[in-house]
Amino acid sequence: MSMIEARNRSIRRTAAALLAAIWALGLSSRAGADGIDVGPNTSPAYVSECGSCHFAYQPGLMPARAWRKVMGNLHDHFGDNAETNAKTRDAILDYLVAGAADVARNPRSRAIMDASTPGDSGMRITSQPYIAGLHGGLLDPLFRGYPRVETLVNCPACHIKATEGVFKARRYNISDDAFRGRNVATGMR
Amino acid sequence: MNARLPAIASLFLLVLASGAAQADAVTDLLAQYQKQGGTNFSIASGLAFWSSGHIDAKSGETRRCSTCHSEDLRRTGKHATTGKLIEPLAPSANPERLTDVEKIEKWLARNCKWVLSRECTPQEKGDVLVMIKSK
Repeated sequence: MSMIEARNRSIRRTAAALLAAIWALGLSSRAGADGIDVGPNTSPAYVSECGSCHFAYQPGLMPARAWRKVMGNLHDHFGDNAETNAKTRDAILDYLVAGAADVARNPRSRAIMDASTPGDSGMRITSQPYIAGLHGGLLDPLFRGYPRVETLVNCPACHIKATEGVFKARRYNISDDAFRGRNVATGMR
Repeated sequence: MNARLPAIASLFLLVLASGAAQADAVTDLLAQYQKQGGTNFSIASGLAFWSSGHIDAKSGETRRCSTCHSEDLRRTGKHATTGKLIEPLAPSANPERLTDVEKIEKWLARNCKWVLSRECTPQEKGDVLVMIKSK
């Protein structure tokens, strides 16, 4: 009796471990570049150079033409000086272009490309038509006044898995009344 | 030649007074700034420079080093535009600071242009470095 029980238990444990492994595999591939979302950054140089001032937006969030424009204007990076040496800049541009929304195969990047027009030269993440459209007035603090957005550039303030390149998970439900009047950057009222 | 002796002596004292990596990076840079015309780098001048405001022609706003890094270098700062937190600059609060020549140069170049709309002079860079180092 007890031997059978022990065997059953070990079979159950093995099965549970297998299931967990399969689940984990599914998770990691879903977060990858060819998963359902843009996936995490893979360039430590990009994360340290650009991520020291702001959230390191994954390459798959903008078309290559937008990244080229950003990286060609580092002396006036949205009003800030973000110059770096030519070697680092070129390496980062290569990384961004290689993973840009035009080439990334995940549905998020494809949706970003579908919504953009070829002549569109916007180089802000928040002005990409797909991203601006999804967020509606939320990204424009003047539109509704709520929530009070301290900064528009801090994705992880609401997207709790943004650093992993997964934007589906959010801290707030936008239709939730409790969301109104909250400061998005801090989560405080 | 003789005029250089006190400077060399003070650099030597700097080396003795602090951690090796930090002293190396700062010593190298101070020697470089001296060659470019800087002299008698002082903590007081560095402090004055740190809090002095400069009006940005494009935005009309007054910018200082402390706008992002805060008046107290031992405290965490905050990026004026993005709100991203900036680790303290004071080596006493953050031992990684002032250990990497390339990093120091990069940030001095970027941030001087943001605050002053121009590059800093070797004198200004030397003053601010000895000031940060003293914190």
